[in-house]
Amino acid sequence: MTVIKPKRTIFLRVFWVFAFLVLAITLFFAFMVIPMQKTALRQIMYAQAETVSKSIVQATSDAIISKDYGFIVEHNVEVLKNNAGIYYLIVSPKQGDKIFVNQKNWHLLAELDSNTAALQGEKISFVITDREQYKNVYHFVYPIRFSSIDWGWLHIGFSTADYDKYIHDMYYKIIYIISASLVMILVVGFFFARWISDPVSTISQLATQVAAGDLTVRSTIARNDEIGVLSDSFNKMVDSLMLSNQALEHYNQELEREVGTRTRELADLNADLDKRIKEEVAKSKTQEALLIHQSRSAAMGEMIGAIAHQWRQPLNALGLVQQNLQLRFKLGKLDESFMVSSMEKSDRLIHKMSTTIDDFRNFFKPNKHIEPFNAYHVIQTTAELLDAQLKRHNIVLTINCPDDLMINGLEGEFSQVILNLINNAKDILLERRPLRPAIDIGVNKTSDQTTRIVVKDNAGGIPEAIFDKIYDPYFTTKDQGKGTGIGLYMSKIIIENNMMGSLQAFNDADGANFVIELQDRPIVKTKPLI
Amino acid sequence: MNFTKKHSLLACGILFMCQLGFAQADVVADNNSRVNMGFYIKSITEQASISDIEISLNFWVKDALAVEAEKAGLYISSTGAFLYESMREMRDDYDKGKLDIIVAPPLLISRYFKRDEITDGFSGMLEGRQPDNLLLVVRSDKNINAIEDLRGKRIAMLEGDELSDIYLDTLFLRSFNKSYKKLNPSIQQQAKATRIVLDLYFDKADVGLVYFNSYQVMTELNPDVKNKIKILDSFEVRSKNYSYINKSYPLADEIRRIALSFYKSPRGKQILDIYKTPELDFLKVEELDLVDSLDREHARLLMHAIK
Repeated sequence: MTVIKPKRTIFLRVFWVFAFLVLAITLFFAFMVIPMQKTALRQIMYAQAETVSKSIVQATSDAIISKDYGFIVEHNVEVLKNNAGIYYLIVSPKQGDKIFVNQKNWHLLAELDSNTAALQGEKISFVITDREQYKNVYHFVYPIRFSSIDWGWLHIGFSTADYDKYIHDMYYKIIYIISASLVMILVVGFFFARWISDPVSTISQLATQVAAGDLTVRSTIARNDEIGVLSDSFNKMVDSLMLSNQALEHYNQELEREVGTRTRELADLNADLDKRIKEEVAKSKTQEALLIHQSRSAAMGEMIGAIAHQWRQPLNALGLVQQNLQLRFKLGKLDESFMVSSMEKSDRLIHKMSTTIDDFRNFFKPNKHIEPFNAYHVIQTTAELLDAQLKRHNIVLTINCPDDLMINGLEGEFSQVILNLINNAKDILLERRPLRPAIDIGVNKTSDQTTRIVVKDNAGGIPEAIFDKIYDPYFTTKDQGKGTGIGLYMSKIIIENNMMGSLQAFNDADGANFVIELQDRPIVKTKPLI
Repeated sequence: MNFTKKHSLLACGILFMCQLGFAQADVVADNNSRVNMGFYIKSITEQASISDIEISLNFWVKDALAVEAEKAGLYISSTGAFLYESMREMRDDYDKGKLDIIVAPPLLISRYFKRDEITDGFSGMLEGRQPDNLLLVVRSDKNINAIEDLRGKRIAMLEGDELSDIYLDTLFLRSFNKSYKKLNPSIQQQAKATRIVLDLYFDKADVGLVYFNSYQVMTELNPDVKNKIKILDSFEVRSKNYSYINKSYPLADEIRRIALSFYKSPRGKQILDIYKTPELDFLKVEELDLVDSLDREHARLLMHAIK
């Protein structure tokens, strides 16, 4: 089994927390000590300066009183010689020249500079300053007073080199301490973090193995603390998990058996279902074919009615021609010219009737293929089939279609759809009887590939309640015996399934609009619907 | 160890003992292998502090001398330094054969030792091999331009320095036929020559007798000293103290050679710095003639002086 090594996050956290704390404490104490040490050093410098000043004043007191400046100079030169830490001395009497002594020479000063003179007061004063070639001088001013008489001041310029050196040493020591702390942090922190995190990491690793399914692992950590308790608890938990797992396996096996049985049953059921589906599909196809057949039959029925209407007028005319011939013959006025004229007229009527038959026959002609056809011609021809009926009911049919607009598709089926839509419009116009019943057919190209045909009436529109049902098979709003309810259903099937277009309807202010959108299709042969 | 270093260490001991008056343990040894020195204390205390002398004696010289001399092939069985407050005592010990080297002011050596009793030695010297002349200095603002102007002036001079005493006295006797002590009521005795310069500078004295080295040091410390003090007269003398070797001392040449190259070693230079001299110089016995002449002139003038 693959051992998964967990990330050493706890180790790192413990290590960094430990490191941070140790470093923070070290830095805190180190930087607490610095100002304290500086203060202490300044106090030491003050005490030292005061002691030196007292010593000089005491040693030269007689000379000061007796104005034995030679002794004062001699003594102070000696003092400087023996104290490399003193840069200079100034003996400054209230009146007269001031004696300036440094490590290399001595001379008299008529006046002190203003900064130095400003330090001369009743009390001891000091300042750390730069003076001529001396940098960071601890300039100490000690008032010289004998028997409550202010004689003058003693200025001593101490080098702060020792002080600076001590401070630098202190900084170095702090750096050493911090460095030592860092080393300690690295070493002790590493072992401390490992002491804390190793057992946790081990248990975590074991837990990961358990999570991965290995229930044979056990913790070997033996400690008398919380980790030890955790280790024991872990082992108990794994034992418990193992028992649960065994029970689960048992249940799983039973379940698998049950699932097997069910699966077989389901397979049998599926096999039966497949058979049933195929049967249903076949049934559906049969039914659909039947529907189409019914539709075509209904159409044919309607067409026969239409033929009857179409033929009614020429038949009447033919009858009139025959009556005229008979009347002329009885009157003896049947001449050749009238005969010829009547025969020509009869031929024309018979030809028209024959043409009507041809049109209807063409409409029902099977084995149509996808091929380009003139949209206007097809719509015009289809409309003419119903022309007699429309005129009879004063329904005005208008076709707005470019003469040269070509559609690639099934011409016969397209004309059947147009016929259905005109028929439906005619029927609803007859039902609702608007003042000027009209059907408008508009055709246009909405793009290079798309042709849009809109069949619109002014019968008031499709009721909202039935909008979702108008394409359902056998749904009709017409009176019993007048409608089959398959016209729109078949139209949608033809447009969307056979011509890969769309048929949708919407209402406008006048009435219903049926919109056919057709995409240009490549020219291929296809099987007839029936 | 090379010859120079070994010998310079030995010379270190010699110089040191030349400058000290510490009595070492009584040493009774063959003078072929010993180095005993006698010092006139009054003439050396100004040059080095007692503490410096003690340190150099105990640390640098006593042990170093014996060890380094042995390394140099000189077997030194004992070293000794004897301090004398009177030249009479020094002379007595010299006569007893106790001293191999004597260190004292030239005037006193001239008075107490005959020329055929001593042989050439060495002395300290100033930078640039200048002689440490005795100077008669006066305050510039006191209108003192000749010895004749010294009458009644305040005089400051080195305590116990007989050369200063007879030199100034000789000058007064030449000009006034009287001792300066009779013409000048204010005579200050100072332990250090530098103090004499300071007294003049701060107008505590009008006339002073100082050795050139002290005057030079003071002018370096404060150049204004030259403005306030001028040199009126001087007496040529190599050094305040002369060192001569007992004529019968067998290691005289070795010791002298070591002493003269003493400045070449770092340790020797360190010791010389304590005594404020850059190096030691060869000193002929004849160089006592000048002080001897002064001493005799002084004696002569004194005999004819107005009482």
